[in-house]
Amino acid sequence: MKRRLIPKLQLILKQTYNGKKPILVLTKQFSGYRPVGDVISQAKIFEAQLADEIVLVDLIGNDESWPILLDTVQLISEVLATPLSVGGGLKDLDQIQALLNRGADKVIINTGAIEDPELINRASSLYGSQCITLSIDAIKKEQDTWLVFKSNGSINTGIAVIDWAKEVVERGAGEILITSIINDGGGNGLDLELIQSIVRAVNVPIIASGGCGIAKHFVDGYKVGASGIASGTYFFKRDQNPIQCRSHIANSGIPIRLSLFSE
Amino acid sequence: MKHPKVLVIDAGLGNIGSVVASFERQDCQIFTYDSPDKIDSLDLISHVILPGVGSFAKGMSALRERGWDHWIKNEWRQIDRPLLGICLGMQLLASKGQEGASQGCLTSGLDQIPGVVNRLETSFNLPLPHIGWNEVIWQKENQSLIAANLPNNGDFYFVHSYVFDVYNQAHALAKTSYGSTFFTSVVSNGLCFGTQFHPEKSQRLGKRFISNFLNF
Repeated sequence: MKRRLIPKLQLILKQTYNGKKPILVLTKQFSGYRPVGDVISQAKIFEAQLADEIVLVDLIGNDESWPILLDTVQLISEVLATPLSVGGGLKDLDQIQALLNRGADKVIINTGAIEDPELINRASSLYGSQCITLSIDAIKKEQDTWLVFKSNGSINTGIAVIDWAKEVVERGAGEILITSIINDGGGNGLDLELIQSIVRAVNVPIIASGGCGIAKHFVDGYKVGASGIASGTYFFKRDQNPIQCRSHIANSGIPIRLSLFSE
Repeated sequence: MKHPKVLVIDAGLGNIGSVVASFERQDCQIFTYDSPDKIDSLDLISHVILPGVGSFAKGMSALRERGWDHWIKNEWRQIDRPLLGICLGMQLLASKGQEGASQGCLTSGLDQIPGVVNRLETSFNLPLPHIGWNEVIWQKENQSLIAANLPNNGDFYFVHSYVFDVYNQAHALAKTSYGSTFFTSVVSNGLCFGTQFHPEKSQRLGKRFISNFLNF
């Protein structure tokens, strides 16, 4: 199985002369939003760079940003032929249905599932586990213990990450996106112990996120068992080249798609 | 075929948006109908696409509810024009399937390609669902123009937990391995085709596959 390299697009709203528009931002430890450009054109660039999937997250996730997120999903799915996972404030089945109708292949649920865990059962039985990705944002508490934070990393739920990971899979989640809040945007590498403990605890694909700064960080993450690695910051660094990053990963003995075989 | 007229079946089985978009990028005309009653004349359609995600049992009941199962089995297959099932749409072409059925009894499928849909058996503790890019290996003994200009180990995008076990190996045009398990990734029986992967999400190779299908 090829490992996945997944650029992450994070949106906020910006007031412009003709209404609110989505803009792309980078984050550091889930805050310090730094604008980096236009969503659609960046998505096209990622496809040209052979992105295996694209993750799109609405960081605002409220009633005001919802219609804009839907439009963005539609625009992306009209122009790209790349798998798209979408999240941001999802709380009910109607929202999931609306995103799938607009062209999302998978939906990403986070806080909505913590507040109503039954949502995972309902969504996976209706649409299939394969399109339900559970996103978990974590902070390390002590050796081998991480806690789940909700509402964009702002509220400590006190729930242990490994317990929650097991529960969401039992309820029907088909994939877990695990993000280290402390490592986010730092470029100093992923939290490998966190990834490894989740990989050992559950048998669904794990996407790891938070901290990739150089190609070696991806290799490290795949080696501890991540099926995919998502990154925002890495793909926007001018000195990094995603195509070279793939070659680096392949040269380390990790199976990954290369442009040569995709022509 | 010049200017194919493509019907994308809307059975309410998840995302048809990106399937429609991928065909819109080709030189063809697209229709989407949620019920066969809306089709004025079969002459207006040259190709049919059956997309879908979700479970086998729910998929079949959705097709039945809207009258599509009868339409595919009787009207469409009688006139023998091309059909492409994608992901769950491919699995529904089988005789029967396990997913979502009550213990011990299988759900009947569209029965266009003999076989049964079973859970993917994984080895080496590989995770399920099988999500991501994987190689499609065309079977030398079952050559088809659907594989024209496609490399033998090209990567396509998969998202699934169940697989189509064909009864007759001549219907398996391509296979893909997951761990030590090989499963059928492209099926065909005459002009009835199915792909376990998502050609509409498989970038350039997917585009080429779709254009091959439209050439039938």
